Amino acid sequence: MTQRWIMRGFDAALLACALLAVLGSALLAGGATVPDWLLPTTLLGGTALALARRRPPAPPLDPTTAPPRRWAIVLLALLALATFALMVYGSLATPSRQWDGAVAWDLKARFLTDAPTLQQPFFDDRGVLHHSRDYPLLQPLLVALVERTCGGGRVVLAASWLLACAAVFLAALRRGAPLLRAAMLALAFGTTPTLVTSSSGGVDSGYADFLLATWMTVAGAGIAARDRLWITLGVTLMVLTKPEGLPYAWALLAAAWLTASRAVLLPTAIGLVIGAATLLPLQHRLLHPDQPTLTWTVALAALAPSVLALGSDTVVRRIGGATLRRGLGVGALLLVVLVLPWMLERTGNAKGSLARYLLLGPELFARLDRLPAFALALGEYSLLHGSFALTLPLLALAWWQRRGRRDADGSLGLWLALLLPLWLVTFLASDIELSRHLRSRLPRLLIHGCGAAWIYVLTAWPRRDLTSADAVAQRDD
Amino acid sequence: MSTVDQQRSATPTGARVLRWLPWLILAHLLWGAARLPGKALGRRVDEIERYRRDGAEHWFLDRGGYGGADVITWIRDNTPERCVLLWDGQRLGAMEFAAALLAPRLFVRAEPDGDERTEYAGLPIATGSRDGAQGRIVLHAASDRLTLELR
Repeated sequence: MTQRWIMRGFDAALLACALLAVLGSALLAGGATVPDWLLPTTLLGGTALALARRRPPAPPLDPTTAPPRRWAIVLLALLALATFALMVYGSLATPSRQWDGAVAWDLKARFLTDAPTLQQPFFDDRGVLHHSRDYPLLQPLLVALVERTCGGGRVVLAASWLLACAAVFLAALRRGAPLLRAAMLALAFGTTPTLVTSSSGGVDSGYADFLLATWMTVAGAGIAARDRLWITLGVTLMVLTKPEGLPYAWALLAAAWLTASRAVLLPTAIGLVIGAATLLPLQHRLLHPDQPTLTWTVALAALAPSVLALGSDTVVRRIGGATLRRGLGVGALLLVVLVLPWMLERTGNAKGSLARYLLLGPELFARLDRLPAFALALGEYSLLHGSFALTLPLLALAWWQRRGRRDADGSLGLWLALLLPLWLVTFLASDIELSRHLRSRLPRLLIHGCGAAWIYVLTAWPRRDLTSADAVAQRDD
Repeated sequence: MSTVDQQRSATPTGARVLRWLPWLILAHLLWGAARLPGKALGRRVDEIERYRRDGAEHWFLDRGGYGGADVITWIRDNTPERCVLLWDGQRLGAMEFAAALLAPRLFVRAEPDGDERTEYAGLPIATGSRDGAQGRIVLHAASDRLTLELR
């Protein structure tokens, strides 16, 4: 019973965030002012939709599992409460105390708090100094609307921690994990040192990296829990949070396609279309406020990856053959490399944060000598500094346990693996001195995948599927 | 449970991995929890106190090895919030903090051959007087410091 209401609360929060993200971004891109009533309206809308949602019954607990020790659950609940209180304190005590939080995200939130519209010189005048001009505006908009409604807008940062932990907890429960294991997994993820210490990229640092990680965790939770809505909303929200969100969503689409997981492919494709169709006009407006949006190319860029993935998946399923799928995958990759720079140019984002990487093309291959340094740094920052504690060994063990298993969870593992080449491109494309860049950027990139990695860890335990008797019993209940 | 799962759990290695995982998760949780009082709470309280005591400009610029925190303080004390400040030099580095710390003041690049503008985007270009000099305030951003000039 309690689990059902926690699940509904989680659904409501997700739906409200997604409604606000899409409507708010669309209003901003259209040059309108985001009304203050949008926040309470989307909260009500999200709650109504969550209450109306029919969800499949959760698998019952394993009857062989011992009942949870109450003292352990109470202890974990107290630890969760204390950590959340610490995040709230860190978020509200001062504005951002770390670099990007102050110079990019807080600054955008400050101007949107004064007037939630792009029709002001800070956004609309290219002559005004504005760092990371085309970054998506979900986090600043959320902070601004909460600030305007009740003050304390930065509490959004702490709330995202709660949401990410809830995603891990609920995904574990939906797979039939015992309560104690689900709570331990959620809190182990939530207390990962790099997330809760006051460093760059941490929960209350003001960076958008953790918010992006939250949505990736939600998408991962959707895969593990077979919840298509979570996947769709997670993907949409990650696209609207940081520029990296769009390539991460493409990577998930590719992973679902390559693992032939239709249950992941379809919701990812839908989330990607909604996210990209909202983001691309907004980015165009931020970069070129004086030019009209190029509607057909934006629509094409938003639709093309999803339509191609779904269409080709249908064809390959009919014809059959893993070899054909792999061959088409390589072809699609080449197509993306060749077509995407042109596509971005046509959507007016040729000088945007994403195109900067894509337009380099062959230059990236000439810089592949940076690969060993990247690999070493990857090991160093994920393992040696203690920032991620035992996340990597746990991930490796989960992979070992799951090898050979062919199910939808495989797309989650492949998605995590595909993040690596995307991160590598970041360092190949940049002109910043490599060791300095790796030191400042790589730990934050690792944060993006941290929650999804914890979801993958929980898939090491096989999912307890409902028997028909269980389903009937739960429905009657 | 799928056939593969049943086979995996039945093998000694598979069963051993599943037995080990909860202990490793507990170890990770204890590791994180042990750092909460010192690294998470203690360090955070200390940082917040220093931020409040020194002010945002000293917190960011002094800590990052940039000079010019006093320039930020002076501009904040001597210009209205709704104005435009002229600047030149490097966009990345110290200048990023200037734009953040002096918001909602806007920054516009100074014309290289002298700037005669008195307003920009409907806002006045900031002027001031300091050390006997008077004129438009121009912020110079070098790689390691911010300096001020009145033109």
